[in-house]
Amino acid sequence: MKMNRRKFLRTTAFAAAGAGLAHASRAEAIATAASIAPTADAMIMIWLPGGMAQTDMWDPKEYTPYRKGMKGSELLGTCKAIPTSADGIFLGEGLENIASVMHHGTILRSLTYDTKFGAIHLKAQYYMMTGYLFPVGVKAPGMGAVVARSLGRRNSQVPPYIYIGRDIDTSDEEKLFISEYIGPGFYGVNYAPFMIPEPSQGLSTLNPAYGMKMNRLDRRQAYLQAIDGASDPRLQESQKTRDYMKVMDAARSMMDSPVKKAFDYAKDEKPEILAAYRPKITADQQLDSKYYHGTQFGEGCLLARRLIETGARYVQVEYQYGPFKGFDMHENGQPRMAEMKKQIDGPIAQLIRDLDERGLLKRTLVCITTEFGRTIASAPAAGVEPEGDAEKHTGENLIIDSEKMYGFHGHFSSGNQMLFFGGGFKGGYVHGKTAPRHPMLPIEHPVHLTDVHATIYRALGIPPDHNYVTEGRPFYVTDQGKGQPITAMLA
Amino acid sequence: MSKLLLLPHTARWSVLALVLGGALCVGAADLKKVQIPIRPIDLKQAVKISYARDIRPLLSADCDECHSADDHKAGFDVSTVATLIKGGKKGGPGIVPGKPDQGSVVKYLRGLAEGPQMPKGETPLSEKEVHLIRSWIAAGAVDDSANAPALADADAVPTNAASSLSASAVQHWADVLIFSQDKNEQFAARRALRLGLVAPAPPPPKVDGPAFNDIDKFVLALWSSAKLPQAKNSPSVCDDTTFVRRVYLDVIGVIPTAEQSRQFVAEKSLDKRNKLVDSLLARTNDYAAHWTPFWEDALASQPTMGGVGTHGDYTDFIYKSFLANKPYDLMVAEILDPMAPGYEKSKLANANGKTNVIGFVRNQTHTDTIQTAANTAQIFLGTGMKCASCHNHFLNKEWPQARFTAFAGLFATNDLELIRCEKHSGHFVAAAFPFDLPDAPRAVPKDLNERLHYMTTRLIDPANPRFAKTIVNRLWKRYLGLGLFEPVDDYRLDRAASNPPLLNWLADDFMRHNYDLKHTIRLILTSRTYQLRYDPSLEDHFEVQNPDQPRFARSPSLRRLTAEQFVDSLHEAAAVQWDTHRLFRSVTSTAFTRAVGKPAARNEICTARSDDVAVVQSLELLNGTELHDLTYNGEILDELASQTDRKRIVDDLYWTVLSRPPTSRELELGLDYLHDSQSATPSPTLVADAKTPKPRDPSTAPLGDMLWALAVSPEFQYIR
Repeated sequence: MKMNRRKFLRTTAFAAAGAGLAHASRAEAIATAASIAPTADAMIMIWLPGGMAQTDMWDPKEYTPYRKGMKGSELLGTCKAIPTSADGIFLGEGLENIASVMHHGTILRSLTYDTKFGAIHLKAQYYMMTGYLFPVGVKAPGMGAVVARSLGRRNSQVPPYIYIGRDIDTSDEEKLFISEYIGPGFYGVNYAPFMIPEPSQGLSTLNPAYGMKMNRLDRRQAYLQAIDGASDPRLQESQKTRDYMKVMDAARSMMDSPVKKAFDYAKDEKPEILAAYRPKITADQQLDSKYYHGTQFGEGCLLARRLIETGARYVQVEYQYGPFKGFDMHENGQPRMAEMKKQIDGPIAQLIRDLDERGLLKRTLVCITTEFGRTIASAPAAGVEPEGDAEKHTGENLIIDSEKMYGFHGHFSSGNQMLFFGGGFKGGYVHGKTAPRHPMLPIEHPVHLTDVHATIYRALGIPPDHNYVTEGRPFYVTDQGKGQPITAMLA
Repeated sequence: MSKLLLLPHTARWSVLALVLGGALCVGAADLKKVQIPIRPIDLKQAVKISYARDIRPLLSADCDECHSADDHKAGFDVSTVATLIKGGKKGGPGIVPGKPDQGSVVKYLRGLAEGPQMPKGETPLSEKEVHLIRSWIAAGAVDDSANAPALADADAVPTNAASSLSASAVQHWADVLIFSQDKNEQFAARRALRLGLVAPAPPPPKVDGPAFNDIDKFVLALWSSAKLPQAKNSPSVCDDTTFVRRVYLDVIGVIPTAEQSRQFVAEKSLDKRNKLVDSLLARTNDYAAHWTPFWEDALASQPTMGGVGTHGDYTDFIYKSFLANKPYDLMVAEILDPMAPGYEKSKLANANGKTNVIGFVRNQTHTDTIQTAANTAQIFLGTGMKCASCHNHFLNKEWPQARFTAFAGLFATNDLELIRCEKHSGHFVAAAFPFDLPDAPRAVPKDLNERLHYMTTRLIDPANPRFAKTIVNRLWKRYLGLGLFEPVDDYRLDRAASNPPLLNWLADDFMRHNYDLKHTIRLILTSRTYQLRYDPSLEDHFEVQNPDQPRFARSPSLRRLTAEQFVDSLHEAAAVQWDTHRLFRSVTSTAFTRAVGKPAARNEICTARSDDVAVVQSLELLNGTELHDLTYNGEILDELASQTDRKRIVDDLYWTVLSRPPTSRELELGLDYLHDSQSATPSPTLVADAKTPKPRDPSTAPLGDMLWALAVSPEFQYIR
């Protein structure tokens, strides 16, 4: 029976009036969920945007080498499958290092989106990072801001949300958009990430500008305090100006905090460790020697580990996204995947090993993801995307004419995959399954992103309907507060 | 024959009280039948009732849910006049044209039929509503929906009796409206005629106390009625140095130079404050530049973004609008109404084979349309409706979802479906403007451009109580720190403004000055209220948890500088040219600009920058190279260094950065710093890198330190 519109309103209005700001059921849910003990205290997000070919990485299919004139339907995998340290789990060739730590991790193979993002990477990235579809109508906070605000600092001297590997100063429109969705949204500047574009440069504002001497910096700071103390007493009595000065002091203290030592990895770490975090390919060995971020990503992983050791709550390491670069492959997919693996396989595996050796993996969640998967493209020339219906392609009508067209070049919103290590996730576990032939849709346990976010938050002890009020209404950490943790992935 | 009589529609039907929504919020339904009495019908009035304007919306709100083309319970469908006549399975014809009491509809509504009274289980219709329906039937139940669009603009012309304008004025404006070929003239004529229908706000109260202008009388009256000691003993106004800085930052967004401040303080004339306000308002470029970022945020203005549709790039439009001091209602019409004189056209952008609309009004999908409607309501009506886009507003009974959806329908080509928390209801809500305006036709045109015109016309109508109040409230907040109603984006019927008579009067005065923003700004800035001294013990605060805490405006609230005010003012202080490259023009986002609050991208509308303080920001102030470059490389350091008298140096520095002379204690601190820096060995030097344009003489470094300290001090960072 259809609920009477007016009655519905009346009931909900009364319920709302009774429960104060939130409705009663929500308040109860928070109380229940909050009692679930977290299994992770910290998180590292390895963010590999561009749309990764999952079949070459985490979900290898039958290896079908290039043959001129082969049909798209015959192209199932561009590399061999290799066994891993977890029985029965295989990864794509080139991921030997990650394979060796797979017994620590869970692979989610059946993430699927109802929304087909077509050609638009940014919207899919926004979705992955905020859990909300763009445009939301509210400045949605990124996951790092959510964790930072919900859980606060782990160490009072260490910023809770640190972001490694993204340009700070830019006028590029796409990069500006990205800066917003990894940002704090309506949470405000208190939950903004501390940006570290290049790990070897450290967090530049923890050091005086242009090498100003510390004694001078402190004399200057003392002068600031003195003139503040001499200013109009009415101004000094204001809570706002007191808070402002307090935070200026806090900034100065952070310059002496342990977090600064985390950047001294080149000095502190053993050569073999440093080597393990380096890419196994040089720029001139790549098809495109210009898109090469050197040690930025690998050392970003190393720095993330050191920041977690120091007490950071959430660290995100990005392999900096560039349209049509890196994992955004619209041609030469096969050789380019091989190149990217040489850049990320070693550092990620070493990060897991390091955390494990230090006993940190148990309470640190490492998550690896991209915005969507890839499939064979209907027209694999660079730049032409199937408009949202890649999921229907069987490849029967596609002829692969040249090696340049051999690879996974089409955006695939129906299938994305993620990896989780530590932090209460199962080791050596695979969740879900995809079809062996095109379209390689999830055929077992398809899961939605909201539930994945709820699972991550569950591990961290944040209920899915945890919320903060903006514009007079609650805004939840998972879409509408409805995420359901996928308990099968949790140990 | 008077031209007025040629107009198709001059009826004055008092409007049904909140047909959409108002009736939805009554208490528990009484299932007992309530017989609704009837009264005699005046056929002369009855013929003026329009089906499309008056009857269809009523049926839509109260009957469509069960008796529509999709869901015709008891075989009855009220969606057209024909099916109304036909009636349902029981009770014979629904209506009999000319015979109001013969059909079943009126019987069911009045509680006279067998079976439940309609609407079933709901509060019965009012006597007035039933009378309206009966009158329409009595006049022949004419279906005028085909003519409906033609009615759209005619409502502007009031009957002579209704207008406070003289008959000749009405005639004059009506002539302009009908015969002028100039859209701007028509726009003004419409405004004038509609304004004639609005009762003037009560004038300022008579008060005993210091008042610079009418605003202060309202404020004093509030203090008196609240029996505050300040009513008898008014707090003093701020001194000249505070005023000059405050008003420069408020009007042009940049601090005064040392010379400007000194001159102002030295000036003897009694009306020098008013003169300063006028001269700053006359600096049109700087005035426009200071307004631009606020509206960029509010409209979510930004260029296209990597294939993602945006709300359009309005920067130049905003700047030019303020440069010309465009009437506010016209500016808003140019954003929303494709038929407005200077409509700022939405653009289309192609990205990867997909076309995106780039503009404030976006309606390619249901979500786009809903968000556009919510954004419009929030920015221009100060009314938060987002909650009602998915379900009835839990906290604000004024906004059932259907009322909001009806409004959103005005932004789309079709009426919108009620989608409750992502569940489709199959129920389409007839598009309607959510506020009743005198004489406004209810018939909504079908063409999208005409719909947007219809919506905008009502949005900016002087009779729409929220439009003018919203903007004058934003002005009040901009200059005094807190709005007369708060939050400024969430006007609520159930939450009184802090000074309702003042709000009413300000809005009315603004409208009667043709929506001239500069007029109201001048009024506020020349009021004694604006010029009061900052006093934390009297300062108002607004907390969401305690929204009814009174606000008295006995002191301005402390306001943090925006990123643009800070950076542009710092250029001024350091004697670096700023007028040609103000921060709002910069397309580069940096760690520094983000830390001090300029958004990297504007994905969503926003009318208030956060004034939070955070370590990430303080570190930028402390060690960021961008701020360092600004404070250590300005000409000002050379100018100061060229002086030999150190007292003079400190004095100049204070005037330059804080617009005032140092106190003796401050002078002492400054001299000590200079002295200590000299004795510190070796002399601190700057390590300039490639980014530093001109490394300064190292001897200027201590002056740079002092400039830095003054610039990051609370006195610089906040407007008091």
